[in-house]
Amino acid sequence: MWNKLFIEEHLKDHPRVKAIQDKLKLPTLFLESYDEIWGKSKKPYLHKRDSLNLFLAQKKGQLLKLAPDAYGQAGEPHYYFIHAYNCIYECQYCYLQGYFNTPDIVIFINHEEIIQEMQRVLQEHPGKRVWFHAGEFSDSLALTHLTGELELYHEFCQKNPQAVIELRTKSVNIKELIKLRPLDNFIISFSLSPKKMSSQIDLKTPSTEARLKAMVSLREKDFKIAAHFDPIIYENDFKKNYQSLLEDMQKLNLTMSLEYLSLGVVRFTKDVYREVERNYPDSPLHSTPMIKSFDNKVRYNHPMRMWMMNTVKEQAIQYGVRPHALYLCMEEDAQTT
Amino acid sequence: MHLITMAHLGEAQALIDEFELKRISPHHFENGQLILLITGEGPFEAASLTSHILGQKEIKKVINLGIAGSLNKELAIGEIYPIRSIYLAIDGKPQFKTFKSFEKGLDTITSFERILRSEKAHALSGLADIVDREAWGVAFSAKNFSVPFECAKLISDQAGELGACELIREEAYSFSQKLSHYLKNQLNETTPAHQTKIDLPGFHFTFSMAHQFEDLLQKISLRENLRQEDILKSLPLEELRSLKLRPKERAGKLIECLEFKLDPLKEKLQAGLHKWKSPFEKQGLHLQTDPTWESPAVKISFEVQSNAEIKEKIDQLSQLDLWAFQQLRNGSFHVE
Repeated sequence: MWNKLFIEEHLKDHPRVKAIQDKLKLPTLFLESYDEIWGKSKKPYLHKRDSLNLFLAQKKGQLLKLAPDAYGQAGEPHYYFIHAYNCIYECQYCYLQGYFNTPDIVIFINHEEIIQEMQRVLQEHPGKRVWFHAGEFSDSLALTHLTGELELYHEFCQKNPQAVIELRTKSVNIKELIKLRPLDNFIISFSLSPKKMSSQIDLKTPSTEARLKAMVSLREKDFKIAAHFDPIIYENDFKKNYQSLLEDMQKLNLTMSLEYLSLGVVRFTKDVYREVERNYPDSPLHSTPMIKSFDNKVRYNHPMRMWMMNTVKEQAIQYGVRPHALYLCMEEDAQTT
Repeated sequence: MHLITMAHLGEAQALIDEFELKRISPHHFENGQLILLITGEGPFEAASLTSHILGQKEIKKVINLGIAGSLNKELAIGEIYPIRSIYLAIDGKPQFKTFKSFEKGLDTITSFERILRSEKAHALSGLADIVDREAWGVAFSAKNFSVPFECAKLISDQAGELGACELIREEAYSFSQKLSHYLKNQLNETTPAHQTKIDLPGFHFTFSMAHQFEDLLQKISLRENLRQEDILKSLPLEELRSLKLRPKERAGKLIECLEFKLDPLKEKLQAGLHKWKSPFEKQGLHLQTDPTWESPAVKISFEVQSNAEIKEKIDQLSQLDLWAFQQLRNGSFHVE
């Protein structure tokens, strides 16, 4: 899967770096800072299929970012932390294809500093529940067997009950996770789509069935789980397909156990949409007309996206998702139910 | 006419023989179908000479061929690889702009300097598998003139290893022959047939309508996983032909059929909007809504010629209720 490993010189003796190096055994180059090379040349996104490089680096600058509105359930502060840039998966709608100039992956090693920053942010919100989301720029579980940081974030949650960490994922790599003790404020959320759509557009990801299975395994061990139906994409039999996904979830007793379920209809910035057209000209994403919407994002027209969102919302409630566990994201009319 | 660019005359010798190219100047050879340009080393030199030719001649495609050093020990010396992406390094540092050649192949990095030391080769090996001296410059010119660009490189040596120059000198003609064969094969490859233009008797499509029609067909074909021919067969062509319409209007109706097929809500929205608007339109009140449905605003316009007419319009307007429009806009209706 990997082509070459790049390591920042000052990290070469770091135990987590050494562990990754030992596991991967890749041709390795050392450099002063990852951004001497990473993103310096425009590397086409699809080169990730056969020449994906891995960089091990220190995250500099802002370690936590305030999440945009409607990122999570409303009324509480939401931040996301950046443990990596780019992803091993290849979802056709992924905004990363138009975000960085390269698909090469950077794994940041300085988790202790990120956690220190989380601790500082917690103090800014005394008595409030504060959310920290992982998975904005990379899948939060996919590489955890290599990276070994889960324990640190888990320990932070254990010490700080007012903090909630959400690990967003499409992975079923729960090997490291289930070694930990479940905590109420350590939530694993899975992005899900109906089987057929997922197999067509979530390239190189575990199947929807496998993700549901991983959710069941976690729930059985008392972990807190959540789900995201985002992006919701129109296809023939759209209603039936979501119904069948929710039916499967209900049969596995998942709908009732969700801490929350977010719903979001597919949307792109103009640049990402252009990249999607270039990279995946035959994608089912292009089979339904889209327009430039109120915030300049490319979306289905207003009636269509509201109809889709409401349809899935009603179905979710019908199949046992608690109405107050539902939230609609990234839509101007978004409201928590 | 195709433009072939190569860095050195030595690499080009077999091509000159094979394609019977005539010498126009020390850098320029031609046979009526091909121009061969010897650019010398260095991306700026290559860009400047390539641009000169592209500014003078009608060129269909630019092909950069030549030898290059390997940055990857697994590549075989003497093998020709199609190039996928072309990067540039100045003083060993990667530069932002990159160019594409083939969809599949290896990546090359054009270096401003010759790579004579293994440390330099090692540093570049993180960026590409091959290092060359001119491809980026040629690609830059081709892009500026919007001419398609292709590139292929023959691995002549391991970059940064001693004795590379001697090896290249010894093998020059053999390398040149391989490149010449490669070019011959490339030029013989048939160009893919263009998509058949849609020709439907009884329908007249303007340029933009034809584009819209083809786009819709493509989208339905993606959605339904059907060939475009099969979608065309499923359309009510005969029914539309029997309507007393001008061919252009008929084409408009056909486009509408495709739009309804593609957008599950369009027909419902159109009918709902018509139902809401028509009683007022009949009274001369024009209700204008955003055709993309993004804006919730409704623009109302009417004409009056007297105070009595104003009063009448105000009375009629008091009957207007935006609820039906808002329901449509919020997708609050049943669709199977």
